[in-house]
Amino acid sequence: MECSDTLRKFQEVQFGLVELQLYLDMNPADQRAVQQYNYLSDELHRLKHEYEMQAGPLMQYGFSRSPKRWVWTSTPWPWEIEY
Amino acid sequence: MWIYEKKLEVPVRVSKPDLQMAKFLITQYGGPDGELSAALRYLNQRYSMPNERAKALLTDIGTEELGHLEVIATLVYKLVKDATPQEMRAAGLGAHYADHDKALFYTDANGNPWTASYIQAKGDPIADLAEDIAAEEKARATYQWLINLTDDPDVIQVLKFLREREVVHSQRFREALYIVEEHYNTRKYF
Ligand SMILES: [Fe+2]
Repeated sequence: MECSDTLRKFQEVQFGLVELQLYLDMNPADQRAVQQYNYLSDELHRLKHEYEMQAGPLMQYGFSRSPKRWVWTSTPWPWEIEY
Repeated sequence: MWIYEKKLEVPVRVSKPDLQMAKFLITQYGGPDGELSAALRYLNQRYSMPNERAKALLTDIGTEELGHLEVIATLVYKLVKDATPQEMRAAGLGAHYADHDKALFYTDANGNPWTASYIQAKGDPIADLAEDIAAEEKARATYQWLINLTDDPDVIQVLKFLREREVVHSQRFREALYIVEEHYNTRKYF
């Protein structure tokens, strides 16, 4: 998969999680929604890893591992990425 | 603590430079019903929000609004990126250029700087959640007016996404208001 396809997929899965997060805040007893949340969370982590192998770290402060060379300073910023 | 993610909530593309649209869009960056106002309003109201669910909701919507702030910034950045000072002047951005060059700044569409008086925190959960519902409806209306002002399909796609998010936020805040009101009624009568 191409780098931008992976990013697109990551954004889609994350969008589902944003929606579920807000829904669960109001409906914390919905067990099916919690299951769906965890299913998508696993999927998000898989896609995050896949994207980072191609494009470098997505998150700061240790939430993404760095490759041997520090590339946080050289990979494009969100407003510079051509989608 | 917040952790930055080096990506946007949605892909942002523009089909052509459009300085006038950038001048209008900036109101969702630093205007009264914009994303900065939204994020700061919700995150700040958490400390006096007595209801557990509403506290979580303010945190999670407030955080999403910070993401929307970067989506708007990216739209403006891409629409203005290649403009000359003369083009900016012709589009009504001469005053902005004189003060900021191409830097983004927290203003409304008329150039008025952001002010804390755009947001409220009454410390009363019903008053604050009612304020949040109204804020979401005003943001939704603003996105509609912005959609009406452009014919760029890429810009419209992003603005429609943001408009729909305001609809969802408003819905969730209505549910929170209902929960809080129920609690108040119980306390009053039993
Ligand atoms: Fe919102």
